[in-house]
Amino acid sequence: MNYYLQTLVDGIAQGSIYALMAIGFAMIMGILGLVTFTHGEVIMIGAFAGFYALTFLKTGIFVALVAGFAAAWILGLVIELICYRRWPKGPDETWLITTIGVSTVLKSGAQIVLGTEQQLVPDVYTGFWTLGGVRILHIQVFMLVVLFILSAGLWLFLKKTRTGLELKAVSMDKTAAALLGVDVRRILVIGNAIGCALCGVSGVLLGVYYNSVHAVMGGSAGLKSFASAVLGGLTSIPGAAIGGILLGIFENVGVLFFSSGWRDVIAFLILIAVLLVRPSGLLGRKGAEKV
Amino acid sequence: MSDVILETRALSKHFGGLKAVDSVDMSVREGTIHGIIGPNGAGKTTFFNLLTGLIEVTRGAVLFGGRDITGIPPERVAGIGMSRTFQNIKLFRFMTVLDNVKVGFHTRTKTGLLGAVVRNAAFRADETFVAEQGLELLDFVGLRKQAYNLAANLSYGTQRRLEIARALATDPKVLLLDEPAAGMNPSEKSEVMELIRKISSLGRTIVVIEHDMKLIMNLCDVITVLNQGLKICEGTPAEVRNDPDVISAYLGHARGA
Amino acid sequence: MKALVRMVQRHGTLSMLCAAGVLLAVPFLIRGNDYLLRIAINILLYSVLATSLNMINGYSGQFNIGQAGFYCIGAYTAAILATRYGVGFWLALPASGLIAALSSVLLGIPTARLRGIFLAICTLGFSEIVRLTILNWIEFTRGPMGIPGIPFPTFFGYEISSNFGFYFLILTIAAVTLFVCHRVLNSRIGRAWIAIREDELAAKSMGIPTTRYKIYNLAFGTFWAGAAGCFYAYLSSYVSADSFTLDEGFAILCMVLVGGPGSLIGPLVGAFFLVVLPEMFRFLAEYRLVIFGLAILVTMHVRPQGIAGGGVFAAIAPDSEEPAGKGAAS
Repeated sequence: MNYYLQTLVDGIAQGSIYALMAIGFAMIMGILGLVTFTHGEVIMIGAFAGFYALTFLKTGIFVALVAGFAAAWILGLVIELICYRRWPKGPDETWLITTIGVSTVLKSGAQIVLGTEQQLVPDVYTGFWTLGGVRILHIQVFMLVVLFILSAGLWLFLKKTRTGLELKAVSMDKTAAALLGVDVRRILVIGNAIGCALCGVSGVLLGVYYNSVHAVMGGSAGLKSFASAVLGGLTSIPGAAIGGILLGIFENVGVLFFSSGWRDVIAFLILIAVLLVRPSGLLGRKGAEKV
Repeated sequence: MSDVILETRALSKHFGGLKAVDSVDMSVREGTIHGIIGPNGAGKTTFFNLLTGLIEVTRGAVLFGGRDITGIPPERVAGIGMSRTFQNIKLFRFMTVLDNVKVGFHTRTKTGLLGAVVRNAAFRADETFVAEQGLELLDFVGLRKQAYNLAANLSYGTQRRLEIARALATDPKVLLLDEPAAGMNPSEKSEVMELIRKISSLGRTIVVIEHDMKLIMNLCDVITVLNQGLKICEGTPAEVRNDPDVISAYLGHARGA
Repeated sequence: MKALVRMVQRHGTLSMLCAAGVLLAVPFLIRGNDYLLRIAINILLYSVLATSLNMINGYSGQFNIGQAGFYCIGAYTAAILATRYGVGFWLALPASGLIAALSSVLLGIPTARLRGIFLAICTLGFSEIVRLTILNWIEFTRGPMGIPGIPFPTFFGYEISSNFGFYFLILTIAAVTLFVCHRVLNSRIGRAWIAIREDELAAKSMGIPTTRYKIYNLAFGTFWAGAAGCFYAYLSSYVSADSFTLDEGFAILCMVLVGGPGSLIGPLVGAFFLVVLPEMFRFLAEYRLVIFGLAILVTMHVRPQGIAGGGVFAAIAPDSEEPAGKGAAS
């Protein structure tokens, strides 16, 4: 019994990272109306920013999180400049292709500049509590707290600030928002940057949780943010959060039955299963994303 | 009296609380030109989309030749003998004019992958048939000369005519035209009118949505008037012209706009 | 350039013969030079791969970025058939293609009816899953050890063991690929695919069951990738999952995008450039993928239709009754 409870706890903790990634993903997806392929690489850059802050600057975890946030924010601005700006209404595929280009450059560039080896990330919060035989790491709780604070902050931002409201308007209907006097371009820049920044933070957590960062970690991270977002209905932010946590749980339960080498396969199978059975996501409106 | 070929019974489409099409009964008799008019947002295009299966019917039924075709997938509509054009022209822009029409013959040919590779007799027969008929259709709409141009390079009015040719290629019993004269100058409009009459004279039934009152009054045998999703009137052009509901719907709309 | 294109179009058969002559002469000119022969083989191999992807991305407008996965399935099918069941090359070739096509159907069924983007991500994921499955399913694939000892293919008793021989083998495969693709594109099926690319809704209204045709298209395109995988397995006599990473898929995609999607010649041009470029600047070998990524970005900014795509190549037609070139498929 404890064994299963332990799996659940680990799953939720891991899911909190996925949730953060997926929130960023859903945010970008919402305002662009399109999937971005740079997502995984943004996570990777965030993770490295955090890693350098922790190892070379010997800062604490909070500064590392801020470093990941900032690095990813800046990267988000650059991505907007290269990938989106020239084609404000571009055909769907253009953004897809440009983000693939940037993602390839980032990934292979990172392998050259940052090396192809895994880098060891120092431990943060090594302690744990034991509750009825179930071990809960401090870092796991910390990750959940980060997720909670950031989602609450995002929620407040979307609810209470003018820019936040404009963001919501753009994600619902670009044309209508533009007619109401919203500067869609500006919102696109900001929304994209916020989405990326959240991923940056999730990258730092990913590095810290697994004690390693890797130039090619973006691939599977990107896939998982997509899978979580699809689980949650693709553009819904609370949906993405729940989708991420669910994916974390599914994955850890799946690993119980198979070996950990199959971890990424499980995520993908879940993605396919959801697309097959309920393309609008477990939490999305039915039929919303069809054609 | 000729038979009814296309019929709707209490056809409705609701988007959330909005009743885009509300319980519309309409019968189109074979061989007629049937007009559908109504102010902007009256639900005309939605009505077409319901007929051709592009959107799901909320309630009611569509009957084609007496057979219930409600909820038929759009790709099967052409096969049963109904074809349409679109309000916002939907051509295959980076295909030639002739290839656009050839696509319309899809349901009338059967060649498979293997036939295409080895170019067997059946394939060659199909291709000859499609090419000949396609060129003939282009002749019919006056586009033969531009057969090998890209559809994207055609002028607006010409694109509409190509769309009609493409729809005809499926050999429809009923042709649905969604604003075939929109954005045209008067001379182009009269050409389109001429074309529609010509199609009708070949025995095809035509249902046409149009904004241009003069065109529709001159062209149609029967007119259905929709307003805010409801059918408010149906009859000959003369009847419709003098109907108080129609007048108020249009005047009200004009005042609102 | 335009003049050249005109000339090629006017004298279609002649230019084809010239091209064939050059392609047949090349190996004799560089016979002693294994390095150059290897490059020539690679150009042709990637031509097949890029063409296979172009059938999907360029003609039906679906967006597949995981072609490496199907390439990998083809290679492993051939390797397993050859080493474990003693199947010969000429049987393994279509078998690899069919298995790759079959797996694309399995992927296409849940994804093809959805918006294009789902297919894009799912192909990406699929490609990665294929690799991970091979790494983990050790009893069947030997996992990270790969499968060595694939015998040389034979042709009527002759063993094809030199690069010289392999050149002609891949040249034949490439020629067949292009021939079949050309014919299919210029048929009812090809027109349906292009119609779907241009406007799926209108294609549906013309009576084309678009979902089925998209899956059909996916299977057709991936078939050639699978066949290319079979050739690769025999060429290197060893397969390992490391050769089929996402990067490989991006490289193939890059060739299509840079060369010009939606034209038969585009992917060939792309394959040529992107195989030759890194060889010419060997000191940049490490930066191969960075170059590919940049090539995509530069193409999108400067010439979004690709080097040989659109414009003069895709659709020139005089105002006459004469069909120019091969219509949409030329």
